[in-house]
Amino acid sequence: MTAHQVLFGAPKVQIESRPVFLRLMSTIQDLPDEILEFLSTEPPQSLIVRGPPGTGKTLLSLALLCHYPGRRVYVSSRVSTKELQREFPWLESKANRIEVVDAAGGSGGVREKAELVAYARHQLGDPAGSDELRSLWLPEPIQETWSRLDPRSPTIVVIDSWDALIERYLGFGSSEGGPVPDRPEIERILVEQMAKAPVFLVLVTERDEVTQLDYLLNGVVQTRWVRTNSRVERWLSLSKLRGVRLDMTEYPFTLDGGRFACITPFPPEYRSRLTKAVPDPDPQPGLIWPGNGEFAAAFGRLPVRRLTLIEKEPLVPDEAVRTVVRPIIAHAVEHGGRVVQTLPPEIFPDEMWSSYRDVISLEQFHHQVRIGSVITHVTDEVRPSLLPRPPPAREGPSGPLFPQALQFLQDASPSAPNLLVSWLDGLHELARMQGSDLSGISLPGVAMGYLSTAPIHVIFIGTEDDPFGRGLRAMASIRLRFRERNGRVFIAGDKPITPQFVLADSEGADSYNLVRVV
Amino acid sequence: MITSEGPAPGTAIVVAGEAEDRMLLRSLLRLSHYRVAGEAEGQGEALGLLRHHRPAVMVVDLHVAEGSWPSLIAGARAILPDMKVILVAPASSPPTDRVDREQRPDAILIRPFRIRQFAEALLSVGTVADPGPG
Repeated sequence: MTAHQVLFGAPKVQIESRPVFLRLMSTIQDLPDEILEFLSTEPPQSLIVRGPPGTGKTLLSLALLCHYPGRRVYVSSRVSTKELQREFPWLESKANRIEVVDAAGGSGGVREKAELVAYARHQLGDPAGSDELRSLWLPEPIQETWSRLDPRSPTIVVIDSWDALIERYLGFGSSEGGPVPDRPEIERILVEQMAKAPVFLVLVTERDEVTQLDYLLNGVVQTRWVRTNSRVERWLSLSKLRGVRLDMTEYPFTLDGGRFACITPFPPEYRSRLTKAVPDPDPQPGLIWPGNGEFAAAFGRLPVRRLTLIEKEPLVPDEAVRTVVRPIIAHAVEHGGRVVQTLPPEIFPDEMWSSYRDVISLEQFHHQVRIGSVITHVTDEVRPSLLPRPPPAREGPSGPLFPQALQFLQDASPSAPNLLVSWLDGLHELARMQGSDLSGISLPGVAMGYLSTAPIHVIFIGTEDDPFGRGLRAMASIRLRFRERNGRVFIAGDKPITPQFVLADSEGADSYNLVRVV
Repeated sequence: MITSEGPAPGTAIVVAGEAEDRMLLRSLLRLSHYRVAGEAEGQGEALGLLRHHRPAVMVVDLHVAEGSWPSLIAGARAILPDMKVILVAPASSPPTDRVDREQRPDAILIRPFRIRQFAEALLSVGTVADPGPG
């Protein structure tokens, strides 16, 4: 049996996130795997949680408490026990049993402690300079916390915030009388004392600068928030977790619902599939269900005869966009709608059929789907759905790139969810091959021609710098921007204006989850 | 659940006539992982605390503000027969052993003593240890 088993009574803590081999895309987790591993190391252990006010330190601390496999003590110098109960009612469960040391009220300061230490030296015959009485310098709430510790039971002690506690302690009359220890000295005593018991010490601090705590303690993590296009982004940086390999040091997180939750990276190898869409809970005429409740809640449904523009940064994986678009297509084909897709140049039309075959039959595929592609070498299965490439235009605007596509959509049932989904890079290539003069200026007119004559919703997908996309911005009724940051895909609506979301795996019926960053 | 009481480790009360002594004994108890449920100057207040908190141990200074340590110990034993009592006394006036059995402490600490000796006294009387979160 290892020392860890002796202390915790069980092999290494079971991380509550899903195993890596099951991870399909970004996942939402209570804590990063690296921190969970750090939490499972043998105490004594120590961690600084640093960040400016309002960046999520307290909720991160509570997540640490909830995930610790031993006893949990929360020293609160900011809010009282009652306030804590009111703010975080989810802590009330038995599983989250947390002892709270209320350090928010006034308690004796360092001057009072100086009198105690002097008296103790006199009464106990402790020679000056002896280390025996050093721990008496610790603030009252820390001594109270120490009294609650069982030297046999691993305990996490979160002091939130250490700054508030120590500054209040040192602020009590420290300018008069005999010598008293300064903050660094108190911090050394604290770390030494807590290391005498199986304690996982967490100090929450607002101080931005590096202090001796950075090398005295074994872990340093930082929370911060940034504003991007008027939207909040929250990030957790793992600066140091001694003994833990830091594969990933940056985690976006959200405080939605009053809980800390972080998001893992979007794996480059992830491949989305066309799976059955989540049924429309409330069908509405003229509005197409996007096949995903998260999308509908965030950006609404897709109006018929209107246009959605998805613009992405170049680093955003195409699969991330497909993850969002495929449920829309799945819903359309499942409900008898017709779909025309113009593919990116690198995608083979046969891949499309592979992705559809889980949702519709080949017969339905031939009947409901048309594919425009620069690649014309296809299998016989796909050939009936492949749009023939139009002949090169001789002069002037060439009208619809694919007249057959327009006719196909015009003949669609107006009551069915019909779609034109076009990747702009594919459209560029098709236009070039056709010798078309299609441009960012003329494309809106072409799109309008489709929208005015066919009962469809049009989705264009391109990079932010694509002139085709820029030309479509004004006429888009839904405009989404996909951004990549540290391997995560952020989505924000410019039309309608929405908060920022992170694309993540879903544990429910939806094929993906949009994690709102608040 | 959140509880400001929490799962009580070994609890104690302190009885001493002087505030400085109470503060010192409180700190020493905490260092030994005892929660100090209350502090009293004299006998009446102490017995009230005993009834309310039912501590595992009572640390009594020889000098109490009201009553006397032998009668305090006897009264405490009547309320909590299993509670352990540690008496702290200065070397200049050690307690006599001419007291009844129910008035005798479980351990006597003579000043000056070291913190380690205080902890050993607690161990020697075999008080109730921290039961854990239960």
